[in-house]
Amino acid sequence: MSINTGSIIKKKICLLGDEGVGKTSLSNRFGNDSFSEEYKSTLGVKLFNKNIEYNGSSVNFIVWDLRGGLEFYKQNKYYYNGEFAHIVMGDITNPDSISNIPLYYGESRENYLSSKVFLSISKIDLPEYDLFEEDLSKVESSCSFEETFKTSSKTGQGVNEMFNRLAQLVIGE
Amino acid sequence: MLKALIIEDNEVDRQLYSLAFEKIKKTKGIEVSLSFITSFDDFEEQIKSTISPEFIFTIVDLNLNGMKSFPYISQLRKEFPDLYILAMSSAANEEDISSAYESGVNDFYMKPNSQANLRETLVRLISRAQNE
Repeated sequence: MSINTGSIIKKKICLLGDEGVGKTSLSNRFGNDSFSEEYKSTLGVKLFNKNIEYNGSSVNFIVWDLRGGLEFYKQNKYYYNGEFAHIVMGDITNPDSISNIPLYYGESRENYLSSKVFLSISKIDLPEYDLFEEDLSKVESSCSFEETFKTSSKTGQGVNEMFNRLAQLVIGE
Repeated sequence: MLKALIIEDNEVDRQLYSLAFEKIKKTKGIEVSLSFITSFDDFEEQIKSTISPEFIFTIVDLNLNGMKSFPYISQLRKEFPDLYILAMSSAANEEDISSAYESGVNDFYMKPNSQANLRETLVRLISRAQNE
């Protein structure tokens, strides 16, 4: 394990997934510790930035909140460059977004193979949670995610845990 | 009729925007009247004489004639706090995108690589700007 003391390690993270799965909400919870019920689709990319202190080191994550939809990623490959990790997102209340996860996983592997890939299952605060557990298990078994986190940007559940885990991986590089 | 401002120095890109909006008018029935600013000379004067309350969005290139657009975007934002501003660039890095947001843009998009992609983005932009 390499420990970097006194300097800030900067890492880029890209969020991938269907429109409406909560990429901007996750970014806002992570970067600004805030949440809004209002849905505004992202046209291109928004950047969110935050330092995480881990084991005496500081990791600066720049989260690239990209517009949702597979077509967008296929047509806009110049957003990919040097990511430490991709976070593929699926909405637990939306079965299509869950079944599309392997497509985004494939897109990630095709474009930047050296990045780590995490899975974030969003909106677990909503009552529909558990409805698609079986589908989710199938999806997880068909892809090689580094780890899966169940998250709620509304309550914050799982969000800091996921980014702390990413920081741990950065420090351990 | 909706009105929009394009701040773009490249003539080919200006023509591509015009063609895209013409096609959107034909296929979607949405008519947008475009005005263009092609340099930052007398910028304050230009925007005051061009933009009226009917303007719903501005598309601004991040570089005009070799000059970074950020201070001019800030000026635009100061003069028109409610105007939807989309920054576009063909070669922007992370620092440029961050600076664009700090200057006051609502969103950033890499210049699309096809007319179809541009049109799809512009239709989204119209809808988004109307709902802001």
